[in-house]
Amino acid sequence: MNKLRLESRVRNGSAVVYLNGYLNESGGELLEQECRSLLSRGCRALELDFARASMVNSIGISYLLDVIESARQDDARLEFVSVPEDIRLLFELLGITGHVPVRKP
Amino acid sequence: MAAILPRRQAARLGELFGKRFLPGLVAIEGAPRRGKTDLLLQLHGALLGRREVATAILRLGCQPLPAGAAAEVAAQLLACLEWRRLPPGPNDSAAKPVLSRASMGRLAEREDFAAWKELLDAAAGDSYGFFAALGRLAAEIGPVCLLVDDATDEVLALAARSSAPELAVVAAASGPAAWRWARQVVAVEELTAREGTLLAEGLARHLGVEFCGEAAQPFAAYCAADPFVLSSVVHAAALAGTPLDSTLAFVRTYVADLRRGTLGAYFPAVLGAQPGSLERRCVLEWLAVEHHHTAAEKWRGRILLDDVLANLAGAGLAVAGPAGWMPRRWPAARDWAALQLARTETIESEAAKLATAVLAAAHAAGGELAREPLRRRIAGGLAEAVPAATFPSRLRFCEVCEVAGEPLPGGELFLCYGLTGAQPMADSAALLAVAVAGPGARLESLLDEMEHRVRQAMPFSESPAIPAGTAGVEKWVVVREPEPGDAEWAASHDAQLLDFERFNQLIAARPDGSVAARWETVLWLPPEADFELAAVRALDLLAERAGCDAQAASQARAALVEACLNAFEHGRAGGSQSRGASIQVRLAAWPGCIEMAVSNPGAPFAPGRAGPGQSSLHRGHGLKIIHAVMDQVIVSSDLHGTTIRMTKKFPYGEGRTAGLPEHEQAASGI
Repeated sequence: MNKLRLESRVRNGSAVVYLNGYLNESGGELLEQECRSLLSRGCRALELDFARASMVNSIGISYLLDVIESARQDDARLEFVSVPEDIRLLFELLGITGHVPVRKP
Repeated sequence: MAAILPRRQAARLGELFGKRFLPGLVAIEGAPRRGKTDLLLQLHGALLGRREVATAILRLGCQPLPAGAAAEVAAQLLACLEWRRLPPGPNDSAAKPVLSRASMGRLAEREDFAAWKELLDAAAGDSYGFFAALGRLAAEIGPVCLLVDDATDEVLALAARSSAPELAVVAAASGPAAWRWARQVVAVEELTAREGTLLAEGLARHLGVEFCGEAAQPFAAYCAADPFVLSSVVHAAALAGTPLDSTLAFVRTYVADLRRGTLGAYFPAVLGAQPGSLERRCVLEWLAVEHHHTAAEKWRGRILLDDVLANLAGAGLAVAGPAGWMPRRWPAARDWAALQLARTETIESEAAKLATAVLAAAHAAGGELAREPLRRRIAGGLAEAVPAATFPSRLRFCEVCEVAGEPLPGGELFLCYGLTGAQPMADSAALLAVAVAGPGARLESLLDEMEHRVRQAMPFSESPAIPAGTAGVEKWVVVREPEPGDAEWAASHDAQLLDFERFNQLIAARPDGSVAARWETVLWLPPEADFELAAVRALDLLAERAGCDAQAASQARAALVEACLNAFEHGRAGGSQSRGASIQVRLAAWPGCIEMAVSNPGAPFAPGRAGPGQSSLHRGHGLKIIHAVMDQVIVSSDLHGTTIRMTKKFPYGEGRTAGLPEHEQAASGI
C-alpha cells in the first residue's frame, strides 16, 4: 500500500489511466492533475483502471468527484474499470456509481 | 589452594561468613564471567573448615532444580555432620568432609530421618518444596549453609522467602533479581586492568607457562581483563607448551579461534542439546561475554554480531521477514531470541542473561555519547553479514532496556511489552506505547504510567488477565521509537509492525500448542498523512488470525482508515503537533468480531465538520463510510478528545455466536 503511481496510455483521443497504490489525498491530487492534463490535450474518453489500486479513502474518492466534474465540463466520456469489490462498495456509498459507469474486474 | 588473585569481594564474604552465621539469602551478583563461581568456591572451601556449619554446594546452571539435587545436597550435609562427630585432629583445619555412600545408607538409622526423607522426597523442579524441607532439616541438625551457583530467579525468591533461622543461602546470580531478594549483595565487578595483569601472571606461574613479564599488561588488555578468557588462554598455552610472549601471537590466534569456533560451529547444535549441558552454557555465556566486551568497547574491530545472527538463523531463531532471515532491528532480534529460548526451553535465566548481555551493546557503552557510534558499528556488522541486495537500506536500531530503574531519555516515545509470567501467553501480555515526558525519566515511573494506561484500557479490552499492577509483570521490554519527522519513520513503523506480529505470535501461542482466542494491539500514531496504513497493517494481522472473511476485513479496513483520518484532522485541530497529540488506535479481534477504537486528543469532535486545512468539498464522508460498513459505531467526545469505537461482526463457523470469545461463551453457557 504505497503511494499512488499513475500510468497513462493515450490512443486516438482515448486515454486509460492505470492507478497503482493507495488513492488518498496526495494520490487524488495527482490523479486530478493527470486527468485535467489529458482532457486539455483533447482526450474525450477517459478510463480509470483500478485493477492495481490497493485501497482508497474518502478524500481520494472526493478527488474522483472532481475528475467526474472536469470530464462533464469537457463533455468527455468517463468510466471506472476493473474496480475491486471493496472499492466499488465505497463508490456506491458515496454516490459515485450514480455518475459514472463502474465495471468490476 | 589460595586464590591466585585476592579480590575484595572474597574479603567481604569472609566478613559475612568467616566467623558468624547469617541466615537468609546473600547474593554474589555480577555479569557472566566475572568470577562469581570462583568466589563461591572459595567461600565453600572456607565454610567446609567450620565444623559447626553443615555446608553444601549446588550448581544449578541457571536451571530449575534438577532431579537428584536434593540427594546431592543431603549427601554433602551428611558428610559434614559425620565429620563433625570425629575428634579434631592435628590437621583439622585442612581436613574436609568426605562424601560417603555408606553414610547415606545409614541415613535411615538416624533419629532425624523424617526431616532427611522430606528433603530427599523433594521433586525435581520443586524449588519451594526443596527449600521448605531444607529449612526444616536445618532446624533439626543445626546451621546449614547452602551455596548455589548460577541460581535462577525462582531460587533467589524462594531462598529469600525462606524464614528458617538455621538456613543460610549464598547464591551466585546475574541480574536484578539478586538485588531484589537478597539481604546482602556482594557485587562482582569487572577486573581492573591491574587485577587482570596480576591474574595473568599468577595463572601462568601456577600452570608453569613460560611468561614474558612484559606481555602481562598487553595480554590482560587484549583479553579485556576477562578472567574466563585469561584463564582459558593460559590453560591452552600450558597444554600446548607454548610460551606467552610480548608479541601475543598465540593469544590472538587462540582467542579468535575460540570465539569463532564456539559461536560459529556449536551454536545451532547446542540449542538442540540437553538443557543445562556444558555446551549450551558455554555458548550462551560466550555470547554474553562477547557482547559485554563489545559494549565496553574493548573488543574493537570484530563485534561478532554477524556470527551471532547467522547462528541464530541457523538455529531457526532469526526472524523471517521481507528482508530475508535477518532481523530488521537488532534489539527486536535479541528480544525475539530471548523470548523464544525462554519459551521453547527451560532456560529462562540463560536467555535473560543473554538478553541482558546483548543489551549491554546499547547501555553499558559509557553513556549517551557512546551509543551512536556503537549503533553505527552494529549496523556496519550487519551490513557485512547481509548481502547488499537483501540489506534493508533503512535499517534502524532502537535502544532497549528491561531493567527497572534504568534512566531513559526524555521526550521520546517508547513501546512497552509486558509479560506477567515466564510463559508468554495472551492473557499475561500487555503491549502499549508510552511517551516519556521529562528528561531523564526512569523506567520505574514509565511503568507507573504504563500501569495507568493498562487500567485505562481495561474497559475496552475486557481482558481479565491484564495485570492489576506492574508488580505482577515480570518482564518488561521497552523499545524506543524513532524521532518524529524522520524520513525513515514509515520504515520504522513497518519494522514496528513486524515486532507486533512476532510479539503477537508469541503471546498467542499457548503451552499446549493451542492458539489464544483474542488478539489485541495498541498503536500510537503521529497525526500525519499515511500513518493510517500502519493501523491497517496491524488490523490485517489481527483479522487474519481471527479468521475474518475478506469482505468484513475490507470493510473494517475502510472504516479504520476513515476513523484515523478524522482523528488526524481533529487532532491537529487541537493545535498541538507534539507527541502528546498522537493518535491512539486500539484493535482487538477474535473469532466472530473485530473491535476498533481510534482516539485523538484534539478539540471536541463535530461530526460532518471538516478538519483544518481541508475543504468541506473533500471531507465529511468519513463517518458516512464508517456507519455504512460497521455494525456498531459509537462516537464519544469530551474536552480531552474524541474516540470512535467500532465493531464489526463476521460469521466464523457453525453453531458459534459471533462476538464472544470462546471462554466467554462457555462462561455464559451459550
